[in-house]
Amino acid sequence: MSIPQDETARVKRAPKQARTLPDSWLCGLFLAPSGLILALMVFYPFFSLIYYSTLQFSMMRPRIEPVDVGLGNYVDLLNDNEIWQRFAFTGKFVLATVLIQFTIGLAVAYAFQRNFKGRDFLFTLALLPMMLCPIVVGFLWRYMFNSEWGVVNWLVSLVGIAKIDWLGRSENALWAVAVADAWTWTPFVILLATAAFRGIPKDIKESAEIDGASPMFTFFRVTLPMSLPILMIALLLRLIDAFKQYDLFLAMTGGGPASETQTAAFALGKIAFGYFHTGEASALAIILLIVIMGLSMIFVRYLTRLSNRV
Amino acid sequence: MAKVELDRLTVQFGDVAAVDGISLVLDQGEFIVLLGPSGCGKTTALRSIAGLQHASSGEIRFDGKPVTGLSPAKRNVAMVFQFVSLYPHLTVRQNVAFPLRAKGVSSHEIGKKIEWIAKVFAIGDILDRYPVGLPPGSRQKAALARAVVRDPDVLLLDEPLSAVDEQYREEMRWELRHLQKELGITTVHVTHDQREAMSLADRVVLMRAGRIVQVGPPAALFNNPADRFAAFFIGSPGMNFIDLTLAADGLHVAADQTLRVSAPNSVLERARAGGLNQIVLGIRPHMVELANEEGRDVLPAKLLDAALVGRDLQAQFALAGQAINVVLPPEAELRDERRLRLPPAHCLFFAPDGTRLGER
Amino acid sequence: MRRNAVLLPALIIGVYLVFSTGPIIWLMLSSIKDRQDLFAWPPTVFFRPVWTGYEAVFGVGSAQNTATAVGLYDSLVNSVVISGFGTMFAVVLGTLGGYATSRFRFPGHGDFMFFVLSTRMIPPVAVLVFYHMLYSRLHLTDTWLGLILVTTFINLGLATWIMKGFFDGVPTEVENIALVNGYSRLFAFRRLVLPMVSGGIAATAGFCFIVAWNEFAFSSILATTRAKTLPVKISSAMGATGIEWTQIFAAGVVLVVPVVIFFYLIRRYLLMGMTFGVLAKGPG
Repeated sequence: MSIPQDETARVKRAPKQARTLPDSWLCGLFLAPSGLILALMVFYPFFSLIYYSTLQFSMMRPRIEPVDVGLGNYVDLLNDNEIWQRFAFTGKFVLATVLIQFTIGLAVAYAFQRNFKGRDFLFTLALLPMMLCPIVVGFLWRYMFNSEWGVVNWLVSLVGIAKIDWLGRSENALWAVAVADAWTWTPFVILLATAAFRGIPKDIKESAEIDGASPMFTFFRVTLPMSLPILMIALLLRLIDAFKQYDLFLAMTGGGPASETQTAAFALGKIAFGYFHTGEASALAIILLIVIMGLSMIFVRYLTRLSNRV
Repeated sequence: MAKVELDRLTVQFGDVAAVDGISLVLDQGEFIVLLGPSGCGKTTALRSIAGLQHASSGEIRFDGKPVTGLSPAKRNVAMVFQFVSLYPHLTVRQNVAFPLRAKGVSSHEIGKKIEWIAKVFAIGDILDRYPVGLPPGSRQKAALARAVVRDPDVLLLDEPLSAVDEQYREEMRWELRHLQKELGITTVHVTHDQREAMSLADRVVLMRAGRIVQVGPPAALFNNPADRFAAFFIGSPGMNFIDLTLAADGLHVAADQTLRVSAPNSVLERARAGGLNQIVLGIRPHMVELANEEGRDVLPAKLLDAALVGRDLQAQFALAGQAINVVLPPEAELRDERRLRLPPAHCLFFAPDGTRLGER
Repeated sequence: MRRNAVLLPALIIGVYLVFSTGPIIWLMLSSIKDRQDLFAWPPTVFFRPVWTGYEAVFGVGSAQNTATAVGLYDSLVNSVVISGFGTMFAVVLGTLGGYATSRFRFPGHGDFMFFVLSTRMIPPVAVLVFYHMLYSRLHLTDTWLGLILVTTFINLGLATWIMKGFFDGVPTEVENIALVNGYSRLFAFRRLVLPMVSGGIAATAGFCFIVAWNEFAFSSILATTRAKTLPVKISSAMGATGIEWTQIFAAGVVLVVPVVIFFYLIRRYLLMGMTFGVLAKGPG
């Protein structure tokens, strides 16, 4: 990235003697506010979480003494087949939605590379889905996916297929909610991917052009590999959010039929505010947290290895 | 290798013509250097040949066939850029293989080509390294290997040695020229460094403000510059210029009318015919001599400064109110007051507007 | 430009726009349908509009009796203040933290970044109760300060990570030139580096504002009367008699307008100079 000319010109003038703070002070100063907020907002709830996860306790009945069960909650949860089903379902959902988001997102970012008239307007338009309130999005897609009068089934019927029960059957509901989630967050991927693609030096793109590489070849062999650091961050963020998805399931399926479309996060909500088993809920939260953290750590390690190369 | 022709090529950016109707013919296998100050249009011209820059008017032909409308991929040219010429996420081997893969060449073929090119460019030891760890010299060698591996018709170089350390630049210049001769690819090289141009080129194309000032072998530009700009741009240190007035009895130094200088009749005639009473004398620092006696073309000067630069003694004198640079052998004796002789054989004369007077 | 090279991108964008804006148009249409049209088969495009949904959202017309302690206007003000300041703080702190982590490779910076990211990993459901307890103890419930704090906290992780990414892309030569010439690092940061990441700041602000504006879980627990935000207010104003589709859709449309306005205001910064320079290393 070349340094803008006026900035360098400004700098070349005779320097003022400013009283300067040493770097370490500045670093501390910059980090302090964030550190404070994080300390306040994370530690108390987090340690509460761990503390309560070792108890058998219900928020609804604070009078009843909490029973210390040590790791009992964890053992019960991990032995519960139902919980494993929930995690399996969550995993499938995360894969589905991330797959859709990135396939579409990268394709659209690819399409937005060349400058054309109206590109800015269309680009802003493409960002709209992200701006809606998640619960509204949930109800909107529930409305559209309704098997009797939903517009999706109407489109499906145009192609000659019979009405599909989207939300009543867990295999379909998985995809229905994944589509809704992907619909909302693909703009995020598009935004970051576009930024990454635009950041590739012009010389490289021109080299590829001169080398005779077709646009597709260039995209897969040059553009994408060089954008990997940013795309990995985007992927990481989307994965984390997908694991936490709650609002959509609440609005679209309510976890049903029975508990088939309950993700781990949804089950957590059920236990916490449905049955008010605060202890158990906390334990589940910790388990979920460990899963997400584990995945993230793998990612971040791969990320740092990548950035060192490019 | 192809013969390249530029036919009245013009590239306009808004109102400004970055390249203003230049015409040029490059023979097969020739090493041409586009030389000029920043903004003279040399890079724009190069990019037009590559197909990266759209030409406003004029034609470009390879071996007689017009390529003006073709995309870079279709022109079979190769280009090495100033800075980022290698794909950072690929090893050198993968970089060199890239253009071949893009064309769908078989892996077997690619392997053979890489072996061959690694030998020619002596990059066998860095084939499996990533560009980020390599010194600029090796990087540009690898970039050249990548450019050449696909047998391009024309090789285009955009100041490829600018980012290389000074020490290695000389060595790389030799290598570049040697490789070019061996491979025989028509090469167009852009630079603002006139020493680089002089040492590399078969012919130099000196450009200024979008136009060609002079085309010719390096010696021609050095000994016989087309105008004052060419005279000053080529050669280091630059040519000295002394203002003269033309009187009925010949040339006098403008700042000190008592000093006289001689010039060939052809020059005097041209000047008088053009109604000029002021002309400029140009002489290269290497050509100025120290003199002891008075005589024709000997002028008094006062020593200002002197320094030993490399194997030469570079001195600056004040002569008739102007600073004159002189390059002398290191053992030359310098005193505060000296006389300098300007040998007529090495003097060039210019009109005030820069045009060259006299024979070329 | 070859014609077939234009065709594919155009097709992709075209199909995507249909996919992304189609449902939004459907949202707007459905927000003004009466019960018959809502559940009609085949779905109707032309119909007589009915405004009950919007009336319920604004608490006017047929829905005038829904009395609540806090009016719509008040919750709008709450939302604007809380989202505005929350976004601003998150962006500022994220920018500072991102810069510090990018430039000063202090020991444990990797862990710090991971820790910052982990704040995003916990489903709000799990910790809502604890936050309520914490806030009660600190007397922060139902206060602007309290909600701004939560909003900032929610967005801090995202802001820090994205800004660090952008700062990683600005070559250190930029500040080094200034430092060598005797300027302070603070000066270099403010005058040289910040302008170069303006696109990143805009993008971060955009993302954070969306999250802040639409935030529901924490807001519904931590601010139930005076500091009630718009999404919470609207959901509480709607009847508990089954799913009132038009009300929900109307609420959705109303809620999205400020976000669109926000993005319109920052559009220039979004699209200009948005380079993740980590890949754009020029000379050196």
